[in-house]
Amino acid sequence: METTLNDKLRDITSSLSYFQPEFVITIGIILILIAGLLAKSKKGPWVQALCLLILAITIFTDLRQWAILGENPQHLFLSMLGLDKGAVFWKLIFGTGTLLAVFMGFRGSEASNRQGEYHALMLSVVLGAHLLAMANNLLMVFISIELISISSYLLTSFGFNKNSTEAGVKYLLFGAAASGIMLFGMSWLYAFTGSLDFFQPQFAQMLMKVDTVPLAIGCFLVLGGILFKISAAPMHIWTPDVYTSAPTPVVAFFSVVPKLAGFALLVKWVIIINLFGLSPLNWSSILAVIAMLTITIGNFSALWQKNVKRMLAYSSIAHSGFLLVAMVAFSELAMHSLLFYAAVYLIMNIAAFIFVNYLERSYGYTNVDHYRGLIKASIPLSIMIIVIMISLAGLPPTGGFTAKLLIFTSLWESYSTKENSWMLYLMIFGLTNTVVSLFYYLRIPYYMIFKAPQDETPKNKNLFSFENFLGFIMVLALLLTFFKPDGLMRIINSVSFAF
Amino acid sequence: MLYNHLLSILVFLPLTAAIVIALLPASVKHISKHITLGIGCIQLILAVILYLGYNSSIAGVNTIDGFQFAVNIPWINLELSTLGKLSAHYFVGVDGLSISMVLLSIVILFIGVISSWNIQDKVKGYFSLYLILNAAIIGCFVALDFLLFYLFFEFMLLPMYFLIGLWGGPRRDYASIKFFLYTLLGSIFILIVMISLYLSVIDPTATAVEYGLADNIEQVTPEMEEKVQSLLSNNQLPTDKLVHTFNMIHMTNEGNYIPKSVMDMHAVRMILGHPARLLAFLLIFLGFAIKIPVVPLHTWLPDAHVEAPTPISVVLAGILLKVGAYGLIRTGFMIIPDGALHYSWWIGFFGVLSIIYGAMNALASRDLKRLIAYSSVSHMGFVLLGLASLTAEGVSGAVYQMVSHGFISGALFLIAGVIYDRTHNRVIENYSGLASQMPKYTIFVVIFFFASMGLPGFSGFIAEIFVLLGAFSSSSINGLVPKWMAIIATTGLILSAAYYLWAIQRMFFGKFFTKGPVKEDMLSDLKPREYIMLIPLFVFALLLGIFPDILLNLINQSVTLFVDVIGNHGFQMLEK
Repeated sequence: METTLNDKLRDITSSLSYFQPEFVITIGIILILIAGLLAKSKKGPWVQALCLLILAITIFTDLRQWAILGENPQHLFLSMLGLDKGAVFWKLIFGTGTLLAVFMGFRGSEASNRQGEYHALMLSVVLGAHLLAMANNLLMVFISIELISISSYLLTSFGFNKNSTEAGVKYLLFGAAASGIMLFGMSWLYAFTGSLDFFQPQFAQMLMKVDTVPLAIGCFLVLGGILFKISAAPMHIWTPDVYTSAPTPVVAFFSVVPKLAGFALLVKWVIIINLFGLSPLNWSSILAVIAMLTITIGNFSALWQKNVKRMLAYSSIAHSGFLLVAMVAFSELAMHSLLFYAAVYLIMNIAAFIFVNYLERSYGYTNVDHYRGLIKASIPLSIMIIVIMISLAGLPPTGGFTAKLLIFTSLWESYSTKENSWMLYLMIFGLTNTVVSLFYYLRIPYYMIFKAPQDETPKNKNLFSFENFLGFIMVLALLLTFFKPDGLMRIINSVSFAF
Repeated sequence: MLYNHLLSILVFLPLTAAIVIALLPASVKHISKHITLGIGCIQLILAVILYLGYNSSIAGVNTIDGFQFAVNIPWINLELSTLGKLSAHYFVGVDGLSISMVLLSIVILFIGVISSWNIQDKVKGYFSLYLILNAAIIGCFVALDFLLFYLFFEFMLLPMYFLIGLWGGPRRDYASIKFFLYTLLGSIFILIVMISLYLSVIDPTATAVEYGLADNIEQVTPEMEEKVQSLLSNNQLPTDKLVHTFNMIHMTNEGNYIPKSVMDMHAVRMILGHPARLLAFLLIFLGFAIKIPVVPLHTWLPDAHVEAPTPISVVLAGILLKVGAYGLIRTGFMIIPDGALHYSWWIGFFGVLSIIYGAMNALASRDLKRLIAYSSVSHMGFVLLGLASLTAEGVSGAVYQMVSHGFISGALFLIAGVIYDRTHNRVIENYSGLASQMPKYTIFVVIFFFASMGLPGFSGFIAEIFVLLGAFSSSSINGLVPKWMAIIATTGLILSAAYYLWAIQRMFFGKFFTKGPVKEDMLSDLKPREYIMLIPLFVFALLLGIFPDILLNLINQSVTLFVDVIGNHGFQMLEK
């Protein structure tokens, strides 16, 4: 198919109208950098407000895209990007997640003169995530991932202490290795197919002609890079260190945006490497093993953690495993469940970090042990934390339960049509793991309520802050997604997936 | 009006009160127990209305129309893309099996409030948790939608965890987390079955609307439902028009199962080489067996009981164990009757094992409360044995035992609480000759010990005699439970006489002395508040022992239909 330069140019200009959110973010990054230079210390809140405004506009333009998009995906920029409702849903999740993380603010000894850099880096991660959700081309994938990664390495070090720097360097080294592995895998696939447009049927058709072993190596290498992003076993080892040492709002952000961006890519990737069900490798079984490993490693490692952020890091690894369950089931229902789980996960995880951040900032609490007798300081706060922990564990009456119910429903449904025993093992294994996870999730309420405070009763410090109000709204949302999930599901149902 | 919403009021009234108590300002926190008591009184009045308004000639069990005081409102409606719709309803109602449990719960919960009267520590928290527990328990017994049932079932755990863990004895941390994790493990098994059930079952009424046979639910006629069922069995319904339901009553109807689904009744699916339905029954049995509890899954119970404060022990033994048995009847037996029949030998075996093992442990217990806890394990074994026999006598006996044990074990834990309140020590060998020091207390102890060991004239006698009759006749009627099980179960009665009489002899007879930390001046006789708790339980145990018809009339129709449905239906399915 020959295309003239004129056609290409017309394609690019016509694509621009679908590029508003990304455009807004790009302008926003520049604005924030300038604002950061101009704003002297103590003007930090203004930079934060600007960043919030930009994110709000981004979400608004994303919503407009949602409204105008029809059933068929739009191919943008010479098929570099593909825009469909699925991609827009992911983008909305990224935007919302970042908005909430930015609300948590960035404070600390070095924070006052770094507001500009901090928020610009946050926005560049969002930009990368937006592009990744739409990427249809391997190069685009790599660029987006690098945009996310490099900004993330920097953000990790924003604690400006020894641990934080160390974690940043560790993340950089691991991340660079993972990117290298992924790029190497992409080069294999390029060699097989002669094309980088991986989301095209021709790409898959070319792959079908490849022998099993080289095909497996190529696919596995790329998969490895994605697993690194979603912190799934065995590529999860960076997570605990980074989560422990990075500033808490950054951790909240990491646990949602880059991870879910990885899932946005993984969905496309699994569709392709499945080769329309003709793949010589049974990816469902392989992913089932990875999911089991991830859930187990996450949950059992979390059992021994004393640091709350580290515990939540392992918990987020376990949640990656649960999200992977949808990839194993791999049907339209599974994809819808995945989106549902992602939305609920966004709410509960950020809500958890909002309160962890609040306690860390107001009382200097970082260990579970510090939470002793917290109920004496504030009963509403304790109740909200209990609801969040129950939701993370996946018990009713919270959205966490509905999400797990849906995701395991899709797995069970796939099992009953495909009869893959690995799915059955994953089902039993994943659900019984809930019992293990309850043990550490309950540890926080346990210390808060059962243990007497260490010294004197902690003083009730400024509970009525905007952040905590936000946390309260999110707790309500968690309850709502249990008692009336219909609305969210209806939105998700309008996303269609091509297999 | 009141009739329609009676059950909802029973569930949501305590929930509302719990929130009110939680929001009370600290200056008036002492009235929280009065509020709780008031709720208990209202519930008692409602229970009387419920009892009087209940028509015992309607059986319920597997017909939707047979449930009384029923409310059925759509709750969750999710589109599951290619799979059709998921529909959960707020569906509550009672039949003979559940109304007895609801009445029992209200009485025991009321007595639990009186028993909590002396709680000084964190009063607001205690009573709001108690009321949440109250709502969850009643919700569990009236829910007819599996998701709703599961919600209430799980919702009992958290308040229970805090009630044991915060107001319990020295090893309360260990006991409460053990209780939580054990029960949660059980409910995970139930969850797996719940998912596979709702994926396999449709709601014929809603599907008729979805398929276009009628415009709304009201217009759907029985003929349309039959048409839907026949279309379904011929695979003529498009999958995206199916409405998957959590309705437990639809789940008992063979016609509502999607052909070739996991739980299909017609052509049984195999999972890992085993029939799916039998596996599902095993899972559900395992799940509820933890709650009942059945030996060897009982180890959480003695710990939880010993550490729990007295009122919570009363609720735990009096009601929570019945939730397990009731759940097994309502879901396991009713929905998967083929599994129940196939495994009836094992159910009976574990029943007998619990009877004997529990009794042996009770015999060896040095702690009075532990003795009573193990006697609970033993007595709940009779419930299993009666159910396994699947004869009218056996099942009536099982339900009777659930109610009777509710009253008697509640009283027994109150008795243990009386002595613990005074001395903070329950070690049997520290006491001797209490009869001379606390004569009135001794009278009650003797009465309830005798009631519990099944002395004629008390409810336990009727229950156990029915169970044993059922177990003995089973081998000639349906061949489910062999005679030797019944014979061994009888020896359980002898063992229970042994441990109770021995305990009475050691603690109450002989020369008066105390040992260890127990001082003589601590031992005062019963107080008025304790009479208020013990006398009603005594009256109930006696009343049900002398006039068994009070309860039997209530449950008879349902039990007969239950046995009939499972007996005939299950055998047909098992042959397939």
